[in-house]
Amino acid sequence: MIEVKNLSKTFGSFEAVKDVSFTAKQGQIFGLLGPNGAGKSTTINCISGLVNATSGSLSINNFNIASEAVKAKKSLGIVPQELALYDDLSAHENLVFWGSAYGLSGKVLENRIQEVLVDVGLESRQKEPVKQFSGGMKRRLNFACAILHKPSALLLDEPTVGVDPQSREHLLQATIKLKESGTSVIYTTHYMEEAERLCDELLIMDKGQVIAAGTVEALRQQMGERDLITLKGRYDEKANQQILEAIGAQVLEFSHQEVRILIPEASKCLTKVLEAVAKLGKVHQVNIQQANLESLFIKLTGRALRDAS
Amino acid sequence: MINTLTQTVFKGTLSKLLREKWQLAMWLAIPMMMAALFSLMSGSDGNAKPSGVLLITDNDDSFLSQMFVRTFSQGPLADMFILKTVKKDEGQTIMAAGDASVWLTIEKDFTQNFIDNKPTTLKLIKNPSQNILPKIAETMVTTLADSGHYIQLLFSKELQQFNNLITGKDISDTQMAVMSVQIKHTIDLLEKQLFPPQIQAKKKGKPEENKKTESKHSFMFIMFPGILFMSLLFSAQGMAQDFWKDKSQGILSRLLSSPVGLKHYFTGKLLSATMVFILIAILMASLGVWMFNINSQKLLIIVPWVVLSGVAIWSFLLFVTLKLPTKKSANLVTEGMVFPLMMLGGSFFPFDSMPKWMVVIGEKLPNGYLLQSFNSWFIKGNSLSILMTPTLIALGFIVVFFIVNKKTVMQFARSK
Repeated sequence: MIEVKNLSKTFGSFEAVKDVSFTAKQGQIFGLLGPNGAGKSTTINCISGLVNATSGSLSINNFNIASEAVKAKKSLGIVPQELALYDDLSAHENLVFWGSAYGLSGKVLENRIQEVLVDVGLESRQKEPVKQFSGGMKRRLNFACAILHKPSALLLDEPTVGVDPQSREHLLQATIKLKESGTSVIYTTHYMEEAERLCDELLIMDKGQVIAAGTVEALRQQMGERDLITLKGRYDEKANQQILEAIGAQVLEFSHQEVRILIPEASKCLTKVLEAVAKLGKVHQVNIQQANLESLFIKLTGRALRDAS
Repeated sequence: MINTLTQTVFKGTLSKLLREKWQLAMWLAIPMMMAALFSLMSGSDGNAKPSGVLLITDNDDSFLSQMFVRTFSQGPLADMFILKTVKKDEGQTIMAAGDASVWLTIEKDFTQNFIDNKPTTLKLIKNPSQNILPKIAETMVTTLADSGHYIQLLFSKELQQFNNLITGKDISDTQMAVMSVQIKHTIDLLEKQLFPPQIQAKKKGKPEENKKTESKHSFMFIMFPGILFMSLLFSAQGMAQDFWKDKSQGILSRLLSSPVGLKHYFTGKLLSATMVFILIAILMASLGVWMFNINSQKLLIIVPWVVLSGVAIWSFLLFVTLKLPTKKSANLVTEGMVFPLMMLGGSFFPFDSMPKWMVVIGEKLPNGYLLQSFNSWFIKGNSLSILMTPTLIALGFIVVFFIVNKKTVMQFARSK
C-alpha cells in the first residue's frame, strides 16, 4: 500500500505539487493523470525518495519514506520515465545489476531474471547488448528491472511513452498481472485510453493540484450521460458561442479550427447542432464519441490533456 | 562480507574496462611515449650536451697554432665540437649553408707575431642561428688569448729561444741549459702567487651517497616514477568520469530509490579503481624491473605505494568531477587539470630540474607530494622510514575524501 498525505513540493518559489493526498491500495492500479508539468513525476520522485518532500508524509507498506527509508524502499519498485539501463551491457547483465541492487544473488536472482524476461517477452534476446534493442524493447527491459525483487508497491512513470503497439501490450499485460498478484501500482500517464483500461482509481492533476479523483466510473458520471462532439472546420473565434448554449450544449473548446461540445444524446440532435455551428463558420468533419476522461479534463481545465502545458 | 551490488559494480566496471582495451592501453602507453620523447630530447643519459662543427683554417700551420687548435679536441670540448680543417673558400660555403657552428681562422705568422710580441689576429665567425656553441667557442678563444698574453709577458725571452730551437735555428747546449734554468727561476719566483698553499678539506661523517647515486641514474630511470604517476592521473581521470556516464544513463537516480544501492555502488567503484591501480602498478613496476634492473624486493613497496597514490588521486579528481554541474564541464575541467597536475607534480620534469617556485607549488599538489615522497626513497635512496608520514597523510586524505565523496555522490545523483 502506498499512502500519500498532504504532499507538497516547492522548487524555490515554484510550487510543483500542492497538498496532494491519495492511497494506492493492495492489488489496485492507481492512475495519476495530467498533462506535462502537472506534478505527476514530482509526486513519483517524492515517493521514490529521489526528491525530498517539502511537507506532507509518504509511506510504503506503513514504512515512512523519510524516517524508515531502507525498509520502505525494500518493497518498492520503480520504472522511471527515462530509461535507466547500461547500453553496452546485455539485457541479462542489466538484470543482474538491478537484481543485486535489491540484494538478490545466485540462483534466486537467475530464476527471477528468467521469469521477468518471459513476462516482458525478451527471453530470446537476453544475451544481446541493449544498444541493439528497439525503443520498445528497452522500455520492456526497463520495466523488467523494476519487478525483479517482487515489489509489493510499484511506481510506473509513463512507461509506454514512445512505445510500439506490441511492446505497449506486453507492458500493460505485465502490469495487470502484477495487480492480480496483489501489488499496489501507481501508474502515471497522459494516455486516457490506458488509464481507463487499467486503473481502478484515478487522480487527475493540473498545475500541481488535484482537480478530480475517484474511480473511473465515478469520474465518468461527473460528465453525466453526455456525448462529446468534435467539429473540425473554420470558425470565427469572435462569433457568439451562446448559439450553442441555446441548444443545450456545453462548450468545452472553441478555436479557429475546432469546436468541442458536450451534449446529451448527440445522435438525436445532430441536425440542430450542425445548423447552429454553421452560423459560426464552415464545418469540415464531425466526430461523436461517448464522454471520456479527456472530456472531463477539458471540462475542468478548459484545455486538452496533450496540449496543456 | 562484500555486498552483492558492490561485487556486481566491481566486476562490471572491470569487465567494461577490459573490453575497452584501447582506453586501458592509452593510460599506459601515453605516459611511456611522452617519457621516451623527453628522453630523446634530453639525451638518454640525462647529461646531454650540444654538439656542432668547428671549422679551422690554419694559415700559420705552426707548432703554436696547432697547439691552439688542439685545445678544442680535448676534455669536455671534445664532446661538443667536431673539428674540420677547411680552406677559405670551403669554409665560406659551409658557413653560408649554416652547416657549422663556428669558423676559426688563424692568420699567417701567428706564432712569430706572438713571440715577437706583435699584434696578431684570430678571426672567429659565428653561426647566427646558433647560440650556445658559438658562445662557448668565443669564450674559449678569448681565454686562450688572455693566457697567451700572460705567458708572453713572463717568458718572452725563453719563448724566442724555444722557437729558434724548434724552427731549426742554431742553439748551443749552454744556451739550452741557461733557458731551462731561467724558466725554472721565473716559476720559482712566481710560485707563491701561482700556486698558493694547498688546503685539503676533509669532510667528517658519512660521505654523501645521494649525489653520487643521482648522477649515475639515467634520465629514464629518474623519470620512471613520474611516468607511473602520469598513468595514475590519466586512469583516475577516466574512471572518475564513469560517474557522469552512469548518471546520464539514469543509473544513479534509479539507484537512489533502491534500499542502499548508491552506497554499495560507490564502494564497488572504489574497489574497481583500486584493482585498476594494482594492474597498472604491477605492469609498470615489472617494466621497471626489466628496464632498470630494479630489485624485485622493491616491488613490495612500489606496488602498494602506487595503489595508495592512485586511490588518493582518484578520490581527489572524483570530488572535482562530482561537484561540476554538467558532464561536459566535468570532462573539460578534469582533463584540463590533469596536464598542469602532471607538469607541476613532477611527471614531465624531475623536481630537481624545475624552478623553485614550481617545486613549492608541485609539492603541495596530491600527486606532487606523493611522487616527491616516493622519489626520496626510490631515486635518492633514503631509508623506507621516510615514507611513513606520507603514507599516513595519504591514508588520511583517502578516508576524508571517501566520506566526503560518499555524501557528494548522493547529491550528485539527485541533481538534474
